[in-house]
Amino acid sequence: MTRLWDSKLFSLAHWSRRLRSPVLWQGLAGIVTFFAVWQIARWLGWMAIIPSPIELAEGIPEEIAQTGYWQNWIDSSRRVFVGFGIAAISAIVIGVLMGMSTRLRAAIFPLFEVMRPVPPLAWLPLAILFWPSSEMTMAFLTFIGAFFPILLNVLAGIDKVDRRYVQAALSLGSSRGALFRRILVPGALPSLFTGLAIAIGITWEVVIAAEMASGTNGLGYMTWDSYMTHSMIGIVLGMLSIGLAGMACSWMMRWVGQIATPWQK
Amino acid sequence: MQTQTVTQLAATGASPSSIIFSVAGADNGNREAALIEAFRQKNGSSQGKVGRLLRSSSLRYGALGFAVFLVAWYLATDLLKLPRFNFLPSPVLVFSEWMSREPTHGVSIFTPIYYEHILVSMRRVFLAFAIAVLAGVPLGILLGWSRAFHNFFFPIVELLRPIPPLAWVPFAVLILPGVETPVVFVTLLAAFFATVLNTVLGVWSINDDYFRAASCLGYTRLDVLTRVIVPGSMPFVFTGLQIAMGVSWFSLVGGEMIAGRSGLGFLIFDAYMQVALPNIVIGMITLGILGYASSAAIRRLGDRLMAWQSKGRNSQ
Repeated sequence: MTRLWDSKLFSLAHWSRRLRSPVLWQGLAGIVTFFAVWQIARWLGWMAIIPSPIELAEGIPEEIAQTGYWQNWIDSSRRVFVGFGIAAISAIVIGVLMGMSTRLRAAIFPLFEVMRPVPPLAWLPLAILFWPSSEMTMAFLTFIGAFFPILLNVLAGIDKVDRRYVQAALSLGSSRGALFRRILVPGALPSLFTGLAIAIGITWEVVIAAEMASGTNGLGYMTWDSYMTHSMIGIVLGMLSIGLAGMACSWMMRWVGQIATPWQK
Repeated sequence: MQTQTVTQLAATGASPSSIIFSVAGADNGNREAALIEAFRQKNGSSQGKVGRLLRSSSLRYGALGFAVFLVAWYLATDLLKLPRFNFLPSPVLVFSEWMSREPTHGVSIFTPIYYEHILVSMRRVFLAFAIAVLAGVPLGILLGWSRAFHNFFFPIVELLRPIPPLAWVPFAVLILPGVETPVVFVTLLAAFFATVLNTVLGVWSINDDYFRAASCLGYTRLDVLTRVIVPGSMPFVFTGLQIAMGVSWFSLVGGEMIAGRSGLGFLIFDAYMQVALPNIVIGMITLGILGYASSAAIRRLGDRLMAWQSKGRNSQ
């Protein structure tokens, strides 16, 4: 296992190299140009509804300082992680079972293939009817959004395991348990973490829409509420917060994946 | 399946080097295709789906899976009326309503309103998809072709990309005129980013030797574009298009639910408001069919355009 302080994050040489690379500065120039064009457009009087970057820089700290802003983060994160956690556990269990049993796979896979193209949000009304609380409804929607990507990637990971490894293990007299632990799990892990990173991005997307349509708190609701009160700064802050939250979660997933599969580059 | 995983990786924005690495892995996998295919058939994998489906045992198990699902649905909602499940429409109710000439809640395969919702949704998805592709592929080629262009513009793309399309809904409704434009805008956003990203990866996946060969043979820049870059990036572009089609339907439903006045997403949410429960499920099934059919159409088109590719690929 790589230790945190051995990683690139804490390496002075790594950071000084990055600071000297032209790529970083070209990228920064691009972003600065983006904001400059936006600001100039506002000075010229175009896009009068959209606040200018300077107005945003002034207004956003005020919005953040309002009570309840961080509570929205907590509320949305809780929904995301509850749905995601249940989806991850059940998709991994079902995926492994399907990967090991031909019959189970033949029975379940077509059914899942039919359900998968139904967009997660289309489940919203049924979920509202079925689950007693809105909290459960939203957790269920995030579950639906996360389940299929994780399942597909678990299956792909199991399929990718080189059959020669399996044969080698069997001819060396490996037990079924060891086959699972030593061959299947390490073989499927990289693909599993790809699935987890995709899925957590989707759960953020789903939770936002669910909160907009039926929530009373959370980042999605905050954005929707800002829309109702015509607070453009609130809307932009909501969008930024949601983007940041989704990105942070995906990064975290990928980071955990790198630690769990150190042999992958 | 492998290419798909790679591009899903791409869709989440993994570092380019890791993606190229897994592409190399995919080539490696093709060499072993015969061996692995045998293993897969024994293991009953999803690949070689058509061939497998034709063999009767998997067909039987698949049918069994559906039957169990439908019977469980029927038992839970209709016969046993389990707590909570009795709020849901039963399959019998849904299908009799869907196929009825005089539906109680006004939506069935015989009512024009059903096809109006379908047409409205399809028009939005295809319009958004067309805009996303027409803007996304050229931008992706530029970003993949020119280092400087990439370094300068890609961070802006990366800045906007993490914001989920549905978080744009309030913004889009305030900024854009009418009812139709915000919904189309929200629908095209995710498709646009998926197309751009996969096109960039497609250009990057082209072997450098082809560029060297092209310049040795005195190709002009236009020749390089049409004969090297476009065909070389096509496999990735088409996987991108498949992802784009999927996310278009996803965002469309959200957009229509929150801001629409028509379309299948609106049909579902309106059915909920009016307590016309079978219509919810009819809408969901219709969305599933349309989503699946449009992705399959793109896959088919991609396979036809890339006949040289399909031999190496074992997914259909």
